[in-house]
Amino acid sequence: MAVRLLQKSIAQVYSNTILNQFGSSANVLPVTPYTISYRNTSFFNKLPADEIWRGVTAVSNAGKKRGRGKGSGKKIAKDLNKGQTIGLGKKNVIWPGLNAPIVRGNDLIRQQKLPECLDREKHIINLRDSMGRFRMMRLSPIDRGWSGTKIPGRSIGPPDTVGEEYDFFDTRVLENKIVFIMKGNMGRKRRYSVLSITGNGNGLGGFATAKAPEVRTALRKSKNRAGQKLMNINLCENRTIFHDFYTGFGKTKIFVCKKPDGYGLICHRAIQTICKVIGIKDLYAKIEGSTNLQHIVKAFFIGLLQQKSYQNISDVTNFHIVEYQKEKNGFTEIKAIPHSTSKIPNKNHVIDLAQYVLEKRNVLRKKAIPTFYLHSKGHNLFVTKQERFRNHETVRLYKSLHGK
Amino acid sequence: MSLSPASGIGRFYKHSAKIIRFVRLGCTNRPFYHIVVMERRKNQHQPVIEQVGTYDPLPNEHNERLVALNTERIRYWLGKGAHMSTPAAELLGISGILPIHPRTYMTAWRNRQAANADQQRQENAEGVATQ
Amino acid sequence: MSFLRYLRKINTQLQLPTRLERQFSNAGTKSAILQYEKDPQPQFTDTETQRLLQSMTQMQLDKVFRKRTVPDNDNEIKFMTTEQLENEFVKMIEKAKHQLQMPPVVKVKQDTERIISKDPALKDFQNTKFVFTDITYGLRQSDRKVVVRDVDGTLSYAPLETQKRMNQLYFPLKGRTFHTPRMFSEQEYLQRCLDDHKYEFVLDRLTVQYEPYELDFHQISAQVFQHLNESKEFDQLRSTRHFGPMAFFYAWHHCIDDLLYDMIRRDYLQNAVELIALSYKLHNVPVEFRKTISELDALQPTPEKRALNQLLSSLKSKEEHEGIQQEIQTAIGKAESDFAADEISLKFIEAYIASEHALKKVQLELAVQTLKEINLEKLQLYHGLKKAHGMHAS
Repeated sequence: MAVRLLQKSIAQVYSNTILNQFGSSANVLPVTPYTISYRNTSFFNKLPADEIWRGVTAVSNAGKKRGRGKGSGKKIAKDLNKGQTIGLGKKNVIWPGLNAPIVRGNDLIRQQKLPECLDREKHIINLRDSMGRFRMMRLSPIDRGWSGTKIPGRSIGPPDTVGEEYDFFDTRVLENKIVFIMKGNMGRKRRYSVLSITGNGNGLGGFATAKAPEVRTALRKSKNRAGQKLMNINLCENRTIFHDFYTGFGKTKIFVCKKPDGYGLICHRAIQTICKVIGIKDLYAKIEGSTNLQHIVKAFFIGLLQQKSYQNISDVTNFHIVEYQKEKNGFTEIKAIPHSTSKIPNKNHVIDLAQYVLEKRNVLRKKAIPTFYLHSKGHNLFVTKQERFRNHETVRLYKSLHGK
Repeated sequence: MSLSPASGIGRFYKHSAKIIRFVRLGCTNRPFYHIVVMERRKNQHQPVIEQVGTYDPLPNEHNERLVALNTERIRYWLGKGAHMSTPAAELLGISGILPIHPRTYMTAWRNRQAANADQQRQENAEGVATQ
Repeated sequence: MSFLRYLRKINTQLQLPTRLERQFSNAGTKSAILQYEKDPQPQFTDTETQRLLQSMTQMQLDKVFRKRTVPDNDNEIKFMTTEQLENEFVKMIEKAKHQLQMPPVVKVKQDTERIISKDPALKDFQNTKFVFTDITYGLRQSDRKVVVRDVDGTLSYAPLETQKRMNQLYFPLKGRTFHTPRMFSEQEYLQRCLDDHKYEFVLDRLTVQYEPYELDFHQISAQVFQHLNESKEFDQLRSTRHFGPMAFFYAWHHCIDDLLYDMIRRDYLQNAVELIALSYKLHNVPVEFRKTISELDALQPTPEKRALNQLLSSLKSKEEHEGIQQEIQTAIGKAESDFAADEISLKFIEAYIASEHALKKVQLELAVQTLKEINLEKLQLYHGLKKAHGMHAS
């Protein structure tokens, strides 16, 4: 009962307010003390759309100084609605009430077709042209870096010739970021920091970071500095590393695996780029811990340089080192023979070569998480029903091949 | 989850009546039979005790009907006193494992009769035509 | 009755004439395909023949274990002690021996009709025949019984062709296809393979697809060997399992001269002797060859031992190689015993060339002459080097 009363009273209040608005009070109902405030004006109908949008998307002045919100003001595409109004179109027609008054003087205006206006379309096209162009920066797919038009991953050519020639060299940017420092007189000073790697694809490689107030300068500086810091890295069979190894720098830990011909580079994009520049073609690397880019680069280079030759390992451990080649049907090729065969292999040494080169570390091999639906009733049913088609694809292929 | 293996997943009582019979698989207009051992009282699509063969009733490109029989297991189950459905018994008879089933003889006789009748009719028709 | 059986036989043959047979019968008129006129199996499996063939095949490890396309080509690097490594080498030789196991040469198996029972009362029981296959577990392919109930009520064992088809249907062999590969069913594809000199590929595929007692196996392999004899690419098959059957084929059909020429040119004199010996043995030529062979065997190791020695020598570090004698031998490629063996072999080969069995005498004589000159030069160099190092020529 109480609920129904309340509903009734609210309905009354509402109708009252509406009536008040329109100012008609022909038969006024008894006014209750409760009224709902109703505002006619707000920023929403006072301000134009542009300003409202700016209010939402713009950044504060302080923010602008810090370089925030650079992309917000850009026009993304042309406004095709500009210059077009409802009622004015290709066909020049008078629509009373839409683009003309209904009554002019004493005459009632009727709908009327006028001769076509030829300038209208031209005018719109002119308007669109004058709006200025927005163009995406185009890069050929070969020149693209890791992501879109961003610099990291892109090639910036060989280092400049200073004294020595850098033939067959290529430099790639690994990192491009803005860094700040505080200066006594200038306050916050902003510079670009660029980390790049250069190499000849044949075992020579070097990396360097450089900072400059301009991106271009930073790129050039880092490229040339990298050219000055070349290191020689021995490649196994001119395509991969000699053995699996573990390496680390700071909190970055990398496990790198030697892989057979044709495997490719399955690793972090920075390591991929480094390998391409140096000339490593087959490798697997897994990063554990921090993925700080500078640390990855340093750790990987340390690892590459600390590789041991087979002869070295063999001399230390007094074991023969052999390669069991599956592609040759299990042919066992001797890679190194210990210098002094008279010595018996050191029993304290690890017998597993993988353990030896990884310094008794184990790579964490996580089990793949099974899909959540794997043992659900519906999926089981699906699998059972699907099983009768298990051979169809091969049969179809076979038939298409043999025409039977 | 997968299809049950040929060794079967059907549960059975030790002394219940077993039968060697066909199970129709395949699909519409394309029959294919498994020859199985199962409890006699069960429906053909229930789990079987063991699959002992297959039978493809549609002739292949060489005009043959293919039958595969696990004779060792068939003999074992027959020795255990398993029954046989008539089609299965007929097939085993044709294969030479068992004596020929009487119904096979009957079918053969009927087919011959029908063929003879056909021939007779044709000859009569030809005779009328020549007259 | 026998007439009826004959008719039935003809019928079955007419029903399934494979394209191949027809083509081969056509090809037969063009260039005759050589066939074994009697059962070659006793001669082929004979221990002496096998030893000759194995020796001729040689065991070049880098060819036996050559790089192939495999699903997993990951290489494993391991620590090994000397002892382990030596064991590993012995295992590798065993493996190589297994790889070089020759497919047997046997006569073509003829289809015989074996009727189990006849029942005229069953005539027309169905409009097609029934093929029954015994799928009992654990049987060998050859022991598996396949029987056919014909439309007229006859129960008989299936012909070989059906038997093979059923075996492949119910117990497929890896690599063998149910339908004949086009390479074997259509002559033009086979010809293309042969013209590209893909002999090993063809023969490998043939061994998988056919049983050695099948007619197709014989015809195609004969075709390959004959093509090979014309193109003279014998080295392709050396150190593969097909070299033995190939040499046996040539020896059987009196056409060893091209192979012999190739062997002399490549300085495989012992093999040349063995080839001649094999041909003498197969055709019962009254020439005493066993003495020469045993002399040569005493002088030179078997291919397995040679391969094992080669592997073991890689194990020795450089210091142990130091011996001057060794160095001279590696530089020239021949040792004292090799020169002695060459002398015996050349004598035997020259005797063969002079006999009426050799067909391409001029060519062979020329090859022998060239080889002799080179050998003489090498011998002089060998003695000269020895003298220079202050060793007495023995």
